[in-house]
Amino acid sequence: MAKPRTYRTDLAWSALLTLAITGPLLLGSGYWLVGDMVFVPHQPWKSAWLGLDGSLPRAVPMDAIVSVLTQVVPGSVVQRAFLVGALVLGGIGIGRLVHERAWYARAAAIGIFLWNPWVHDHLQIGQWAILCGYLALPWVALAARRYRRDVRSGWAPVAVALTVSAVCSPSSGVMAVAVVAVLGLRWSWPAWPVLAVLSVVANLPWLLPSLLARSSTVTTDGVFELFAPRAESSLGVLPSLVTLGGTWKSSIVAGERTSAVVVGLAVALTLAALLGAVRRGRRGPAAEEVRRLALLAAGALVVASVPALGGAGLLEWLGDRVAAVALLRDAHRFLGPAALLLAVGLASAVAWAREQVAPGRESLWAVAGLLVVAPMLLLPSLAWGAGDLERSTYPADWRTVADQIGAAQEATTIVLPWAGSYRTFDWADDRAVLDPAPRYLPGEVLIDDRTFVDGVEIDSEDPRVGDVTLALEASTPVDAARELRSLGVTWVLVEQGQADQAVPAGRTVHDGEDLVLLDLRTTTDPGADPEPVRSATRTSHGGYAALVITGHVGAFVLLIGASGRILRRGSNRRHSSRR
Amino acid sequence: MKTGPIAGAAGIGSTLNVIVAAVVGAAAATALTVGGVNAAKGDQKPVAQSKLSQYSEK
Repeated sequence: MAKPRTYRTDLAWSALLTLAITGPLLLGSGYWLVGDMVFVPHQPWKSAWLGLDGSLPRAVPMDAIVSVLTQVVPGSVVQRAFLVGALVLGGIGIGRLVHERAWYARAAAIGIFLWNPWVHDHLQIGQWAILCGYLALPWVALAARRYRRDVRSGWAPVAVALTVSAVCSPSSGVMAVAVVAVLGLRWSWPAWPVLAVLSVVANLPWLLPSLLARSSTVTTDGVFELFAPRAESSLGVLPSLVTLGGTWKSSIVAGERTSAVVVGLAVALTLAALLGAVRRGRRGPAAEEVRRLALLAAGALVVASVPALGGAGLLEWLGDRVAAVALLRDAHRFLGPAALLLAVGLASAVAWAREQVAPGRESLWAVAGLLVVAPMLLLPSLAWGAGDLERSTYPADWRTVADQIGAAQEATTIVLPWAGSYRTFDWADDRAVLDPAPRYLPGEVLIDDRTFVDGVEIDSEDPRVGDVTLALEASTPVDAARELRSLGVTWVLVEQGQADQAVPAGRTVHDGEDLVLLDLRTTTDPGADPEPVRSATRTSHGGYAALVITGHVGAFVLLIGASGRILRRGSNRRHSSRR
Repeated sequence: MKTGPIAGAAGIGSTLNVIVAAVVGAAAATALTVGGVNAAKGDQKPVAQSKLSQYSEK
């Protein structure tokens, strides 16, 4: 068992690196709003957060957790808590994975795990929940280690690790299952079925809504090619991937990663880590685990590189037949588990360099030191807000509009311009960010969920989007308003400063500098339907809602039960050690 | 008083130190220079307001 001092050193180093990354966020008010990272002051509760609205559960149940938390503390605090907490805990976790190593070797492991292109890219792309899932991987690996030794004492940590990972995102849940399966399984009777049950129950919160989402469909046409990893430098895509880079989103790639020299040096660092892993995998108690980590990393590399190496067509063919394959759309994220091998290997390499220090070879200390700081030297862009992330504050219009909509009993809002789900606001540093309206505003909020990537349009997943699109194409604003009312739309929110679009006829209840809110319930249109607009809320789950909720309850009970078991065992161990 | 072989070993050790220090220094300096310059370029541009916002944009 690791000594308390070990934890303190790891905590200090992890906290320092976390501060170096998130410092700008911590030094003032406001939010990091970028890509998919959207936090709002108070996220109203909606059934959609539990996957009960028939939409695809991309952020289920994480949105539910954020919504509950923001009823207690502001969203800005929640965002900081998630990012800082996950980074620090991720660092401590990887330190525990190599706890028998000296502090400098653990520092190298923590450094490469927290400071690499994968972390940079997912921060810049705003996939904070997936980043949290990545940072949970060391704890998943630790749980798998215990599970491999003893299923009876190891199932509870595995259950907690799998449930927490699944909460982060569906892909994080899948990655965690893969990590436990590769690192934790033995050819013994209870290990396989127990893990199978734990995996299914832990992932039920997103699994059931996915299977039951009748009203939404996920498209796979061309998406594997579109989201395939890309070369960052002239060295090609493989050197990028083996150094944990290669995101599909070229616009957020760190400037230095476009340099062949930097990527080449990063490849050298990867080789050093692999040599360290080979050395550790030859003998000793950790040898088997390192071999399993190598298998895991190889699998991650294959999954990540298939779309980039001509396999996109095959994945699309599979996706047409098995919808679950769509989960592999953004293949780069599945590279995450490979970082575990690099971290363990680099710690071993640093330990080796230190062992070689002798009179006349003192300079090998410099090799050890260089390996520790190399991740930071090779990716300075991650420092201080991943390069250039700036805090943003919502204009007052947003609160005003949310209050006005919240005061109404019925609320189905569409957001204009009807032009994809990403926005660039001048108050948010003109970055492409997921429209905050569905999370900020109460009631049902419909946005055009088509995604545009490099000029290519990815179809909507929500069939109602097509209906709204047709309504907005009506010949006159009055006709458009009438069509929208017939679809159940009560409010139209117009976000200013975006692409121009004709606005349906409605009573303006707020006309601000940033937002305009129109009420479609009252109109001067003589041909308007005098009946109240009908509800547009999706009811696709119908009788299945109980099943979806049962899935949430099942995962929650598993989490609480397993956590209780871990705490009881810890308490019993402390009592017995005192006797 | 140093004997011949020991003095030779010390000389080899000294040479090794110099070589290792040079390689480590060169690698660090290269990473710092090339990485720093590229990172500082800041050639990422904000998205024009006039066009559609795309997920692929920064």
